Amino acid sequence: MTMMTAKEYEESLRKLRLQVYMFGERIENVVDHPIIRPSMNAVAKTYELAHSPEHEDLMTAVSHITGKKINRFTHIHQNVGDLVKKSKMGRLLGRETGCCFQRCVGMDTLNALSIVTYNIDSKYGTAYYPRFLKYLEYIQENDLMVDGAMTDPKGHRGLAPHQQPDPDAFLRVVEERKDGIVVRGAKAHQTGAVNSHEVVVMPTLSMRKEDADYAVSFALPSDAEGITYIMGRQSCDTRKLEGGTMDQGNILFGGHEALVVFDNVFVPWDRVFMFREVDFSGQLVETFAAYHRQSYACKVGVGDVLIGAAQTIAEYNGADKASHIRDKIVEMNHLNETLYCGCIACASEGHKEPSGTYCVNILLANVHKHNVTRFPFELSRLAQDIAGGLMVTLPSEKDLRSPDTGRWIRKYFKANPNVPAENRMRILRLIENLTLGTAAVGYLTESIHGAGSPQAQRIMISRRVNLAEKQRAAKKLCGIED
Amino acid sequence: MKPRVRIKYCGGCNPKYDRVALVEELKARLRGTVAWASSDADPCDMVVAVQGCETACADLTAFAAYEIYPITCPEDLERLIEEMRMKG
Repeated sequence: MTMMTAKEYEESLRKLRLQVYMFGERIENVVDHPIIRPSMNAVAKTYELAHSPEHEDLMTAVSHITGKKINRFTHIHQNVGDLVKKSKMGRLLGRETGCCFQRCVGMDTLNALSIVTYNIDSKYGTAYYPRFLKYLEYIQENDLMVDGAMTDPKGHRGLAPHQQPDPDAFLRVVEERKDGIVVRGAKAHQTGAVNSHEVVVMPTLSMRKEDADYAVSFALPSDAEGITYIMGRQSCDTRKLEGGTMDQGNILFGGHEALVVFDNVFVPWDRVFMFREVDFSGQLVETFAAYHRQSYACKVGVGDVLIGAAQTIAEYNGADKASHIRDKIVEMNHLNETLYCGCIACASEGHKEPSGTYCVNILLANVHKHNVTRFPFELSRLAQDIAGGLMVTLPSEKDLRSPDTGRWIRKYFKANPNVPAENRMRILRLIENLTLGTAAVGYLTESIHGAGSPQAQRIMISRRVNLAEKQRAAKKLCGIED
Repeated sequence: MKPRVRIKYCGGCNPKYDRVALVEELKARLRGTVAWASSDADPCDMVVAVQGCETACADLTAFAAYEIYPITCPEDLERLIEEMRMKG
């Protein structure tokens, strides 16, 4: 097969037998569920654009294993150009969907494993790397969507995994068999989990020898026996159940997160990529995190949408010529393009690892992600400032359609005489969606905590920055000789 | 014989103009003057590289043997049409 179309991707999901729960009930038809389907649409876009001549240059790559044309989301970066294209692809998809398209986490997981499995083998003489390459070829050949699962529920934050009152607070190995291992635990905040064909688990932090059972990485089909998905709620999510075409804001796309429970799940050895090599758990976490921090290029694309919406509502309000509005639009662009600088810089300054995989510049990736924890909030504040208070007091689509109230809404919510009130309502709903509705999950809170909370980046920045060299430069200029 | 032209787009991460609309206009205005190669497998004589901005990052390594006509902005269209008509 090698590259699925969007339609083939959707049909492939229908064949999965996932155990998914939402609002306390089992969901039998996951693909068509109105709250989940927009998130499936967003992933489907990653398949659709790979077949589009005007986007294939970013969306596809040549497999270093088979030489075949593949979807870039299944590719292992072979040079700095691949890293740069990954950032550009993120911006493209962020702008096309206006939300999280969920597929970068799997790509980042595969790339991190391509480095760390090689390094484990080099130290211990294990055979994880050839095993991983075989798995990678399976993913590439079938163009599968992978959920990269790192974040454990973590229990008491002050205790190590083996010290937890409930030992399952971190996912762990509970049984070792001749043919594989049995694991138990959970992974939280799993973006795109029920839109995935595969789930690849990694440890969530650097482990010590007492935590050996927690230093495990493996892959499973997403519908493996013993896996249960419990969907997370999003602000305004039930608007998608109302059947209208306006109040959702983004009427096509969305994201989702789920708690994924592993209840004594069997993993065959040929899908295990780390088993009690505690000294490599930290390297896997840091490598994955660096790639995933680069992946926040997608927020630049979502920022493009928000800036476009802010400019549009300014025009619809008749305020676009006001100097302070124009200045706010400039500020929004300044912030958004500054984010873009970071994700391009960490890719352009990438380097080759011993396995041959190219890795981003870890310092710059962390700086980029740290900016992402802040700038979308300022962009959102500016967009809300430009939009005006009507954004949060606007009546519903049903009121607009009602014969009793619609004429008043059309009359009193018209501002620019050339723009119907409905269009003004639509763009306001989109800004609401992005800055405090369902898309704010991805654009704001996930921008803080996804791929590591701000403090994690500050730790990495302090570790990676070369302070001694900066001091040497300063001292030399002012004549200090130590 | 009409020259065969292949369109090669950049990835379109942040294009400054509507690349697809520009190509549609190009095709409409050159109708009957050139033939369009529709896939990598089709033989062609020249390549129009449709770049969304001045960075011009479309991967053209597969077309090294061909004459390449770059477009990086809508203003390039008239020049390109003129050159194509001279070839045709």
